[in-house]
Amino acid sequence: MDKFIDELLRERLTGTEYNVPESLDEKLNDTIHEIEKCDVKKGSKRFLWLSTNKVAGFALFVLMLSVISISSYAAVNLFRDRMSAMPEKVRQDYNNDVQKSSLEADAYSRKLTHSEEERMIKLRKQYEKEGRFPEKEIKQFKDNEGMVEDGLYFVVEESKFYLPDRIMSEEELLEIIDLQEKRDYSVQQENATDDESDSKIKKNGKLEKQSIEIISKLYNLNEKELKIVSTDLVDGCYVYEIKGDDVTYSVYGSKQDAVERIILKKDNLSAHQSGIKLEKVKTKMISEKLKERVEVFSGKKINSKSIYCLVDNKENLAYGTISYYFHMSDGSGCVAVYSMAYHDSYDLYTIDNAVMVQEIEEKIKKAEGSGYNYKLLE
Amino acid sequence: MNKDKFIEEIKLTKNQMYIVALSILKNNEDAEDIVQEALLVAYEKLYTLKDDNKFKSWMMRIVVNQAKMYIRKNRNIVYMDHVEDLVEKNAEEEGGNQNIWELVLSLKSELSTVVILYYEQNYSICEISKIMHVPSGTVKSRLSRARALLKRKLEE
Repeated sequence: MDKFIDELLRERLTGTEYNVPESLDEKLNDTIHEIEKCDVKKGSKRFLWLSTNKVAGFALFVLMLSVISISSYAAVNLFRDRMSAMPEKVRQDYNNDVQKSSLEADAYSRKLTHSEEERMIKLRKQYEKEGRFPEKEIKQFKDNEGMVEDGLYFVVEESKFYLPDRIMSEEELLEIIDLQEKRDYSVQQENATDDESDSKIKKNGKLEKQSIEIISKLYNLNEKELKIVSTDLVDGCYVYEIKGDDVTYSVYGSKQDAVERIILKKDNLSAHQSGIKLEKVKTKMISEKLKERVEVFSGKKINSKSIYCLVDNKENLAYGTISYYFHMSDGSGCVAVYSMAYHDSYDLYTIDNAVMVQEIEEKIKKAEGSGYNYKLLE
Repeated sequence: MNKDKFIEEIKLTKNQMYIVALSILKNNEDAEDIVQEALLVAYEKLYTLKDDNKFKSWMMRIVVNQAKMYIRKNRNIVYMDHVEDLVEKNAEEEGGNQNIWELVLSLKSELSTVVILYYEQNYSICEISKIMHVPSGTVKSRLSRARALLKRKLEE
């Protein structure tokens, strides 16, 4: 089946060209034209600052002395000098911090005020184009342990700027900009080469342990037989692939480091199967089997449930699966999708109750338009 | 690589760079800006490219890096609504049929980028691992999850 999907995706993606907007050509043609005009010396330290329409103040480097004035060149050079003066070790550390971070974006401990935002934009331009730098550097702490009560500082592990409660001064805003620019420059310098290095995703031991424990509990397996074979980060959340005999369990962690989804995949067997008659499915028996599992998984008691499945006009299960929607005692929801091929729940996840109801409604609507029926069984 | 060759290569790969940037940023204007910026960064760093044959993957690495930096700096992450508009427009231009791009770009960035690099642009797992700064095992598991999700979406 994977092979079929592989071929289908390759064929359709290479066979259907995405309509790239004409505005891209316009933008690139201008840039290419400028490059064509300039005389380049390999490895030169000279560069030009250009700004795009939208990303005001974003660092753009190119060697085009001919199109900038001497004064702005000198100012820009100050910026460049400041960046290139960073020792290699510092650059590597900044890059490592960014690459190791599980977060896609830096965060602030509070929302910037309107005036701070406006001054930040203005100061960033001055920093980049006029060489206006802070007098000091922002205080940095590896983790929360070194935190001071009020003041400006950066916690590396959280990629977070802790801001004072009062409105920040220009010096403080410049200190923030300074760190952001240095980090960006370091990432750019360390990664725009063709080296062979690989970076690793930061380990989350607590969630790893929790994932193994929950799989062991739910599927009655010995923890020692379970092995994490891959770790991934999606939107700052961990995803583990845990292997046990002929089954791979994909475990999804939430932002709060709690296990919120488990998907099973058996070697050489698809969870989907066609041609199964609905009348042959023992929904009540399956329901009893799933109840206990759902309560262990969610850590909550079940209040009520509803069972749905997608059937064709001959009452055959479309994919050989039945969805059990559980309404939990605390008002949350939990879904267990049972695969007839696996004789087990192949997808188990916690969900907001309102989202769960919406999900059911959407499936009913989609089925109506496709000649199928998303049928309520109980 | 000399300047003429560089420009020639850019013209050949610009659409691919754009789609990779779009898969991360999910916003047309941002993707265009990032490609433009990546081009300038690449030009400045061209002397670090040791093997001209690796230009395309080296360039993609810069695009991915620039896009990640943009997200980090702007904190607004991605605009899924914009993607829906974009792909809808794209589908209309394709004759109204829901096209494969809609499905791929509707995936989370981490997944849609590997799908595009692997299936559309024919990079190997190892190359994608270098472009995206993640281990090969991670690329494999992302592909596997993307496949499962796309399979489900195609069946719906």
